[in-house]
Amino acid sequence: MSDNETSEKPALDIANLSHSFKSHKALNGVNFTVAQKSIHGFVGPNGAGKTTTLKAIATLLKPQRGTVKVFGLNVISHYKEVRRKIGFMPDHFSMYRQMTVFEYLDFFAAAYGLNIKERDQVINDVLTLTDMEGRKDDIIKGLSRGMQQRVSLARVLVHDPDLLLLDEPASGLDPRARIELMEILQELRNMGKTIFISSHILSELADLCDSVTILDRGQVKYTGNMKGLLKREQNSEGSQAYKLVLAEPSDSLVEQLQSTEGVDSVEAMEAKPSEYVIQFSKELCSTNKLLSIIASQEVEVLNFTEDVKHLNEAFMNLTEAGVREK
Amino acid sequence: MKLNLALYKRAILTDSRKFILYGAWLAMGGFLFLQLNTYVTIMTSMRSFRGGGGGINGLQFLATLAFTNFFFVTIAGILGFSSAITEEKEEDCLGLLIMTGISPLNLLASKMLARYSRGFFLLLSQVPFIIMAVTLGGVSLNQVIATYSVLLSYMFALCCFGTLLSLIFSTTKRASTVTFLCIVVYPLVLLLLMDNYIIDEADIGYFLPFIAMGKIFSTGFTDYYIIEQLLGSVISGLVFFFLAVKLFDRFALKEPAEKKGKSKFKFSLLKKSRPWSNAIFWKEFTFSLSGRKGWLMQCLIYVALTSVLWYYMSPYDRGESIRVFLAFSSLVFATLILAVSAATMFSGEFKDGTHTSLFTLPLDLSSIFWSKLFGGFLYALPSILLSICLFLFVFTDRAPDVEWVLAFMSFVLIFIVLSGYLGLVMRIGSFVASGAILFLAWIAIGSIGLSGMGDEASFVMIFLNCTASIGIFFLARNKLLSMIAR
Repeated sequence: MSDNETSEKPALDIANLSHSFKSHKALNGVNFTVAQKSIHGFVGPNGAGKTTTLKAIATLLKPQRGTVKVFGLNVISHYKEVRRKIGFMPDHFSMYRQMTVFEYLDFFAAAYGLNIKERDQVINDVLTLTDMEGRKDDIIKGLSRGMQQRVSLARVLVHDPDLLLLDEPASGLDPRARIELMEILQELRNMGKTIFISSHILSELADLCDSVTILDRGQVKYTGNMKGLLKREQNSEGSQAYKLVLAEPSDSLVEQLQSTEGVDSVEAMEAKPSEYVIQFSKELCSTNKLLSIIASQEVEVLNFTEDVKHLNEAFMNLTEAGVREK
Repeated sequence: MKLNLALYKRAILTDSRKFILYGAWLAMGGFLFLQLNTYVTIMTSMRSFRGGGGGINGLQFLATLAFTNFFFVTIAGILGFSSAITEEKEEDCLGLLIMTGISPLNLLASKMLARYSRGFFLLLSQVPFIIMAVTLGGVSLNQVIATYSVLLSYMFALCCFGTLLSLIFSTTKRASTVTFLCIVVYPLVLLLLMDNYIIDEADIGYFLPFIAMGKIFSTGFTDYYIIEQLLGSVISGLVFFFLAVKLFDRFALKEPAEKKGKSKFKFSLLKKSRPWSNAIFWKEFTFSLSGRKGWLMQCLIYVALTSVLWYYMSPYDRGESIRVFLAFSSLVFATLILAVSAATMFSGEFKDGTHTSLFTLPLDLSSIFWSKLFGGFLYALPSILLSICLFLFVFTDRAPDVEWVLAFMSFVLIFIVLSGYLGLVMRIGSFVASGAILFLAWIAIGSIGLSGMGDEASFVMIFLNCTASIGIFFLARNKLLSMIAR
C-alpha cells in the first residue's frame, strides 16, 4: 500500500471487535475510528477491555471476531507492516533493566533494522526529546519511575512510528512527571504523530485529547470529541447549567432568578459565596432571559459561562457500577 | 522460640497448586516407563537370541544415579539455593516481610527449608530407580543408605551456604556466581592442601562428598567413613546457617550501590559490542547469557580441569583419561547451557514483562525463536567445539558408532526441548527439580542402555526421543502463543 493511500485512511479503524477469554467476554462488538495526527483518549474502568483492545491493535492478540486496521492495514494479514507503523508502550514497565539507557535504545533500533549511523542519530534525537541525554549511560534499574517511563517512551519512538499506543502511561507518576509527559505527547502530536492513549481517569485526558472513546464491560459507551461527550450528558437530562460569578454576593438577584419560570435552582458555591450555579430548563427558559434579569439588578458581573458538567460525573453516568475484573 | 514457617508453607503450597507440575512429572514418568519397557524388552529378546550375556550391574546403575544426583544438587545449589533471599530482595518484598515482625531465624529457616524440601522430594521420588538398582543386583542396603545420606547432608550444607550468600549479595546473579566460584575453588584448595601434606589423603573424603561417594561404590566400603562425612556436612551447614542469622540485620536491608553502565574493566575483548544486525541474537548472547565473559569462563574451567587432572593422574593413562573426561564433561556442560538457555529463552521475557516489546518487533515468532536459540548456541560454542574435537580425537583409534552418537544426541535433544517447555510453564525452582529428575533418569537409563544395547534398541530410542521432542516443541509453541495473547 502506498503512502498516499495510507495517508487518506484513519489511523485506526476498529470494526465489530469481539474477543472472549473462556466464558468471560472481554470485548463485545467494539467499533470506533481514530483520525490521523490526533490524540485519542481510550477510557474505561479497570477490566473494561482496554488492554485487550490495545493488544489486538498491537498485533499481540488475534481477535476472534471483527477487524482492526492501522492506516488501512489489517493487523492480522499485514502484521509486519503494522508493527513498523506502531509504537506500543504497555501499562507495566517492560524493560531490560540490566541494560544502560543507550544499550536499551540501541538494541531496539537495531531490532528495527537501523544501521549504526542511523541508530546514533535517532538515539540522540529521542533522548533529546525525552530530556534524557544526561542519563544515557545509567543502568535502567537505577532510574526513577518517571525516568523509566521516559526511556520507555524513547524506545517507542526509535523507529519513528506514525501511531503511538500508550497504555496508561501516566500511572504511578508524580504530578510533575505527569505534566512533563503530557507536554512531550503534545509535542509529538505537533510532529504529526497519532497518539492513542488509554487511561481509567477521564479528567486526566481532558486537556490533552482531541477525541475520546469510553469503554465499559467490553462495549463502547461513547466515541467522539470531548465537547460532544459533555453536551451529550447535558442534553440527555434536558436541562442546562450556567455559572455566574459576581464581584459581591447578591441575595436579591438570587431571589429574582429563583422566582423566574423554568429556573430549577440557583446555588451559591460553598467556598465562594459570590459564585452561583444556575440550573434551568432549556424549553422554559433561555440564557438571554437570564442575562436580562442579571443586567436589571445592576450587579458587577465578572463571568457568565456554561457550567460544563464535570468529566468524572459524565464518566460515572456512562459506566456501570460493580465489580468488573474477573 | 516458636518457629513460624509461614513462608515455608507458602512456597510448598504454591508449588503444590500448580497442576502443570504434576502433569509434567506424570508425562515424564510415563515416557520413562515406555523407554524402560522398550529397552528391557529389546535387551531380553537380544539376550535370548544371542544366548545370554550383557547383564546390567545394579551398582553401576546406582553409581550413575548417585553421581548425576550429586551433579544436580550442585546445580540446584548454584541456581536455586542461592536465590533464597535475593528473590525477596529483587521483588522488594524483604522489607515487607521484616515489617511483619518475623524473626531472621524464622525467615531464613523457612526460605532454606522450602528449597531443601524440594531437593528432598526430588531424592525421594527416586525410590523406583533404587528398587530397580537393587533388583538388578550387586547393591547392598548399606550402600543405598550411605549414598542418600551423603547426598542429603551435602544438599543441606549447600542449601545453608546458598542461603548465606543470598543474604550477603543483592542479586541472584551475583549470589549464584559466587556460589559457583566457591564450588569450583573449594575442591581445588583441598587438593592443594592435601598435596602440601596439610590434610591427609585418606581424610579428603570427609571434606569432599564426591570422593566419599566414590568410596561407597568401591570395594571394602565401611559405614564409619560415611559418618565422618555426614557430620562434616551437617556441622558446616549449621555454621553457615547461624552465620546468616547473625549477619541478617547487617545485610538484609542493604541497598545495592547504584552503578553506572560504563565498566571500569577496560579489557577490550570482553567489552560489550554494539548490537549486531540480528539484535535479538546479540541480546541473547550478550545479556541473557553473559557473552564473551562466559566464553572466557568456560575456557578457564576447562584449563583448570585439565591442569588438575594432569597433575593428579598417573602419567601412563592421563592423556586418554583426560580426553574422555573432558569430552563428556564439555558435552554435558554444553547440554546444560543449551537447556538453561531454552528454559529462560522466553520465560525471562514474560517475567520482566518485556515480551510485549519483543513481540511487537516487525519479526515473526520463528525468527525470534531461532535468533534466541542461536544466541544460546553461540554462548555454548567453546564447550560444543571442545566436545566435538575431543570426541573426534578420542574415537580416532576406534570405529565410530553412529547409532550410539545419534541415540545420545536424541537424549540431548529431548532434554533441551523439554527444558524449554518446562521453563515456560514452571517457576525456576520447580523447573530445576523437574529438570533434574528428567536429566537424571535420562542419563541413568540412557548411559546404561546405550553402553550395552545394539542398533535395534538405539533406533527405537532415537525414534521415541525425536517423536516426543517434536510433540513437546509444538506444545511449547502453543503455550507461548497463548501467553503472548494473555
